[in-house]
Amino acid sequence: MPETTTFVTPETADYLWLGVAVIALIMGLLIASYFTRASSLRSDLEMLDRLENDTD
Amino acid sequence: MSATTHPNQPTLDIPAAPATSAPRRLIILTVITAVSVALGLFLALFWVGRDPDQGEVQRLFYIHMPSFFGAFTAFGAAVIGGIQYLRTRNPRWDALAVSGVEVGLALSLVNLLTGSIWARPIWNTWWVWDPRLTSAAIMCLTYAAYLMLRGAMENPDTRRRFSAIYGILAFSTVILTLIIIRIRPDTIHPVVVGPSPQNAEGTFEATRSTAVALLPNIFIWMVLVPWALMWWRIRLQNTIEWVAARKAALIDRQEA
Repeated sequence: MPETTTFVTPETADYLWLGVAVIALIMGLLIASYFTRASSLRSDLEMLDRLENDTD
Repeated sequence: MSATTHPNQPTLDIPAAPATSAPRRLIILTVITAVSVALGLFLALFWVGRDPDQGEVQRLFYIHMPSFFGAFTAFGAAVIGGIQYLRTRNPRWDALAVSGVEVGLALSLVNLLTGSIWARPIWNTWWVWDPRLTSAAIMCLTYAAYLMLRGAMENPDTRRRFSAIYGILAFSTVILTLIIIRIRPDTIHPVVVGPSPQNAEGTFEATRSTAVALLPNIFIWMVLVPWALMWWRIRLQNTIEWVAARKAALIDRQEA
């Protein structure tokens, strides 16, 4: 009987989920930076309103 | 631009106050984008069949390639914003340009890192100095430098003019990354549309279900994701400009 070889699909699921986590991390960081910058701007605006009222 | 005046003070140019609530069209686009991304991920991660040669990691391809096209869209918007800013000197075009660069950089990082993660089990290495990988890395570094240099400039007019010119020139790295696998035969990066080079490693057969999972993801990551993110970022930039102008006006008033 000739020896036969069977191809086995490699187990690469861990790399898939690592990739998905990286995608979520990068896009999450971008969106989180929008929120933090918007929040910082709101604080700046409140301070500007107070300072402008004091100046007036 | 609207001019505001205070008694006994010089006239100061302050941009019109940006709308406080997001427009309805942006909300709708954001909801459609979020639902579409979830649907696209479902198609890529669960619906399409497993590649017998590469296993589960091949599913990253359904985001890897579309994210590059999304970066292309965003960096292209930066070119349009730059050209229009140089023509009109309207800061709103500068807002489009910087939004395009930020979103494009995020998407090109997704492209680069998912490629590297895919390469580890398929090429048995995280990274090789292949022409395609090298040009993609240069592209990312070029746009990262754009953001760093832009952030270091104090004068708004100089910053916008510099950003416009840099953003237009930097697009050459995007074109190079796009075409390099067709002009350099020594790449091992597979070509998706058209025949791959002889030494390409990690190619796969595109079946009908591959196309069903890939085409929606291309539309989602090339059109919906960049435009939704850029729109939000443009609104943020308009607010940044408005706050900066108000700060400058207040300082002028206090000094006068």
